[in-house]
Amino acid sequence: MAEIIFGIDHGNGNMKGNNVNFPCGLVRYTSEPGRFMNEDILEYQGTFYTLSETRMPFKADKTVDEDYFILTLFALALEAKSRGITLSGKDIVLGIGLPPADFGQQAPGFKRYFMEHSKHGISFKFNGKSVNCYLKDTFVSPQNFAAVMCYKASLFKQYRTVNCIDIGDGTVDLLVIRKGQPDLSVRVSDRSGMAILRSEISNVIQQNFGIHLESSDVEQVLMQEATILDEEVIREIQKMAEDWMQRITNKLHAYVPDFRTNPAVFLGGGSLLLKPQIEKSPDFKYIEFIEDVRANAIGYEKLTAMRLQKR
Amino acid sequence: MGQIRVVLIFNEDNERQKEIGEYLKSQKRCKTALITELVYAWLHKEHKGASSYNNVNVGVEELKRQLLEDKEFMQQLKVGINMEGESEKEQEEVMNDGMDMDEEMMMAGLSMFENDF
Repeated sequence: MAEIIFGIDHGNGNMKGNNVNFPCGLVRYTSEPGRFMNEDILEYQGTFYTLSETRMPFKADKTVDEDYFILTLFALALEAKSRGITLSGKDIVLGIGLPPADFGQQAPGFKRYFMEHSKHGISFKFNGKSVNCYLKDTFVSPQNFAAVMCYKASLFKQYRTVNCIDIGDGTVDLLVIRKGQPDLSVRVSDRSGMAILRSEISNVIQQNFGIHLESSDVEQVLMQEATILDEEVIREIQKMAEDWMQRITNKLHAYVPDFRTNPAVFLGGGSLLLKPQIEKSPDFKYIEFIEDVRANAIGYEKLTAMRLQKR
Repeated sequence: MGQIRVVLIFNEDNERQKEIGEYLKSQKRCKTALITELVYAWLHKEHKGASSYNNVNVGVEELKRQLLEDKEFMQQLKVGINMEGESEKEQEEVMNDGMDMDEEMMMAGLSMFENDF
């Protein structure tokens, strides 16, 4: 039977698939909850789950508990729905990823996490319907690398060195591509992702203006969407985002002394939120963005398909 | 490479929309090319691809009806798209998804990571 490949990006803030993107937030129920607003309900081993906009705390090791496995089941179910296919009776191959800095150390354990959880098959209920499938294999790919190789190959052929900066919710990851190949001596993963910036902004605005901002309020301002917040508050948020970008750049300068000498590719949800600040930054001369936040998931899927083909 | 993203949402309760949505979804490749050909023919009805509809008195709605009923036109369109799909498979995939990739470069880089375990 032909297997179905699913590329899934287990982010700290969001789960991404080829077609889906949802926050890493779960609510657990011991008995079946009422279905509110057509909310998706997943039942796994007698516990019921729904997705939540409230994200889980940062997990340096995503295999410490079942949360990321449950989120993966949601991703599979939603992705299958979006592709118009059913999972039951199918062989599945997962394409997943880890930051280049963690790849060597964590990849075997990350793969084992999914294979162990699925060793007796994957069985769960999604919105009351039983899903039974088999996880045939799991391939781990390096994050950032998977995305930039799918979207920026021409840039790597044109320029000898390209710096790729993935700003996520939990971490900022730097990967340097030289002559089309990863420079494995530079693998940086710094915990200065957007979650910390959002939290700092909320605290400062609460202290200085007495206004309680939620994550989506901060993102709304950063994305330059319509808002009724005072100009003063907006300026403060933008100033903090600018300082944050400067802080990230300063940290990365420890590995790449000058970003103005080679092109930089920015990717990840954080890059899109900080786009105006990145574009304004005098520390970069040539910038390209990967606008699709699912780029890593798409890359994992491509790399998995290529590995299967080569078998 | 610049790219324009357009998300199409088809209402499943509407039979026609459902049919078109499902058809487009079943096409693994060529979606962008198919839509481009159709809309281009629609907009530039004097263009050779839709020369039989070169009548300025025909309204868009009428043109739409004629195009959808014209099996020959649809067949030509389908054949054209399939031919393009066969001859420029790789490039089309890249264009459709707004991707820019080189499989050899990817696999070479990946093996560097894997050998670094």
